[in-house]
Amino acid sequence: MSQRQVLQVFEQYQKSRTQFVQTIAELSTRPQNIETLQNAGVMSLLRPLLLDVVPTVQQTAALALGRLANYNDDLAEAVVKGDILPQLVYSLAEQNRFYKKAAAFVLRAVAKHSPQLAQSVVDCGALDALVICLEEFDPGVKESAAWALGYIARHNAELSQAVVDAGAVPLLVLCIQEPELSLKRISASALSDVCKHSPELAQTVVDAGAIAHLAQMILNPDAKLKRQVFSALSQISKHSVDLSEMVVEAEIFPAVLTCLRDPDEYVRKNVATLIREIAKHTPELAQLIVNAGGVAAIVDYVGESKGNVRLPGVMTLGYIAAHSDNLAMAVIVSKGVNQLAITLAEESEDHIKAAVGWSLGQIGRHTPEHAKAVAVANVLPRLLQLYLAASSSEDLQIKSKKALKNILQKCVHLQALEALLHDAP
Amino acid sequence: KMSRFLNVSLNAVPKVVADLYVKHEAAEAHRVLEYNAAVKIQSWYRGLRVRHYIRHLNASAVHIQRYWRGYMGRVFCRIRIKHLVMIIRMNLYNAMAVRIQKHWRGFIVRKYTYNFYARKRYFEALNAKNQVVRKELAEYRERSEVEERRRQHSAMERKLKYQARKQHYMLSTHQSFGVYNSPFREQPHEMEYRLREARPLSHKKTTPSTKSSLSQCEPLPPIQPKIQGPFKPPSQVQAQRYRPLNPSLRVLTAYNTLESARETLQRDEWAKQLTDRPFVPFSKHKVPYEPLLHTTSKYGHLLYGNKYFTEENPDMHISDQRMQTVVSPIPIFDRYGGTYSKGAVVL
Repeated sequence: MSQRQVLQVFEQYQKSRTQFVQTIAELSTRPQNIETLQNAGVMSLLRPLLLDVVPTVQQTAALALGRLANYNDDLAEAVVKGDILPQLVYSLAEQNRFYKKAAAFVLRAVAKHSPQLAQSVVDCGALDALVICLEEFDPGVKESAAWALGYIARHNAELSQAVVDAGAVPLLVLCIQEPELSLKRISASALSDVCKHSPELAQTVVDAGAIAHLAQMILNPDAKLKRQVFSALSQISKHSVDLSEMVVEAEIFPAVLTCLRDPDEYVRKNVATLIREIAKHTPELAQLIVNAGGVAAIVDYVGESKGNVRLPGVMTLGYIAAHSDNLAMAVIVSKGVNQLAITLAEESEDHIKAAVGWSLGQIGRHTPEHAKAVAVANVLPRLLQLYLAASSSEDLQIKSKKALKNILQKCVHLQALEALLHDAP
Repeated sequence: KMSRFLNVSLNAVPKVVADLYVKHEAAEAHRVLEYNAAVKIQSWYRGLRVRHYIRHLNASAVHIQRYWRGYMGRVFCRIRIKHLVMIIRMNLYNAMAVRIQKHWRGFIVRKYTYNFYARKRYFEALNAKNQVVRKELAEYRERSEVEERRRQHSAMERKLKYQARKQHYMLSTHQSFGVYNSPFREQPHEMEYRLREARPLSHKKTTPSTKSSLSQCEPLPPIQPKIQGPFKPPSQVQAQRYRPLNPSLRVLTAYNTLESARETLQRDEWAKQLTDRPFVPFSKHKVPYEPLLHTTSKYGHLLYGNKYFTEENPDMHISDQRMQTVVSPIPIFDRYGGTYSKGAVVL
């Protein structure tokens, strides 16, 4: 055989490999094919292709693996059991940016299903490789690495601690300052996932100077970015008073109130969550929110939204009113009680009704004036109904009973009391 | 007298003696009784005296104690009265302090802690602020909605324009009506108008020419032909055109004429001068005096300009003052050798 014929054999083999891998990658985008692929034993076939000489085959094989692992956790288990992860981690350090993107995608797909899988990803030493990827120039590589780190840190506090110990946080803060929008989104969501578990982690993120950059991005027009930014800020501020004060010192008020009227629903929900986390710590912070006109904005927000999205707004009003009677009067003056009464009548979910009942209890428990304001809104019979109804959940019954007790202790408004006497148990 | 004495002494003595004996025996017999009775009487009397004395002592002691107890009682009474007075005073002060504090606390609580009017004002201000916030948020909402609608509208416009460009051949002509310009419609479809305005889309790639920058420039407006007027005679034009320069004196003089004139003057003077070294009076050029070797002595050299050249030794002077002439000066001796001329002196 001549040399050309020998080389032709190799070319054919390479072509068939490329074709196979590309078809598999395409097929794995559709969920209905994945079962068939799994039964055909695609994992064991893809694994040696990861070590292929041709870079295109490697990259496409990694991409296909990632899509497969993304689909369900059995496949992700299979990826872990097949000892593919160490190979991926090793080549993360060496290969070009397309391969890095694909490998980070596989790691992310594996880590997102459960804490054990994420732990196995961490055990392979993936964290150091991902952190090195965060220092690359290409924004696509940074994005996939940050995404993978975010998914790892999402599950529990130990994994977040491992991510922080690998030194990812300062690099994530640097990534937030990059001009690419998708990279900003992903880094904000990764930071939010790191912060949410414990105060020490939140403190680490704050020490890296994240708050200033997050605060700068509040007025960005992109809705998804704002969602992640507000989620990150609320996770930071929920842990302690000092962290909340640091978030507030970044001068987010009153710009944050503008975002309460954003067209996107989840942005509004995250803003309401942020305000709730800030308001719940001390009376001074609640006073700050009230003085900035936040109560009016929250009341309008509660009026506009429907369903689960209302919950943070309702709880904010409750937390603000709980601190002192001046603040409760401020909530009443801003027409908060009427709005809460409307919410109580409109909503059907038990946990939202329980939250509304709790907030009303916090508003009305301070002085007879407050109790009168709550009673005048015709809320007390409704609360009694909720307490007595057999279909309400335990939580709802307990909360409405406590609220009723607290309000009635201070109530001297005769009409409301009379109305209750008829139904009293 | 004597007889009586002898009588008595002789007759009475044995009787007396017998009586004496009887009495002595009786006395002897009653001695113990009398002794006991005497003792009793004496003891009674002594007891009387002692009792009287004791009674007296008691009375004195009682007297003293009475005075003492009265004194101490009065002292304690005074102390107790003082205490009582102090208690009364303290109660008074307390009552007054309570009165002051009552008024003060009522005042301070009503004015500052639970200042009703400040609270009212705060809530009014809060209401105003809330309204402002609500208005601003509503405005922001409107603005963002308008923005959104405008964006969508422009995106849709772009899309439709691109579609019209792609389908430009569907434009209706005079002969055949296009799809969008059906004769049964009272007015052509809006797509028809778009097709009319659209520039046809061609997927040919235009190669950029070398003078692309120039060809892309807008063409200049055409030059309008101007009417040429009556012409002057050529000689005049020549004279005008080649008129010689007639500069003023100021223009003619160079800026360094003054300096060059000065230099010329200096050069002429230098050529005419006899010596290069100008004569200056002695005051300008001080030369230190160099004494001749002939006149120097081993005793040093006295500075020129000393009035007297005699040697002076100030340590040997007896006094500081100069010698005083005792004799008044004789004028004629002062003029010695100086009044008349010496005449011709033969050297």
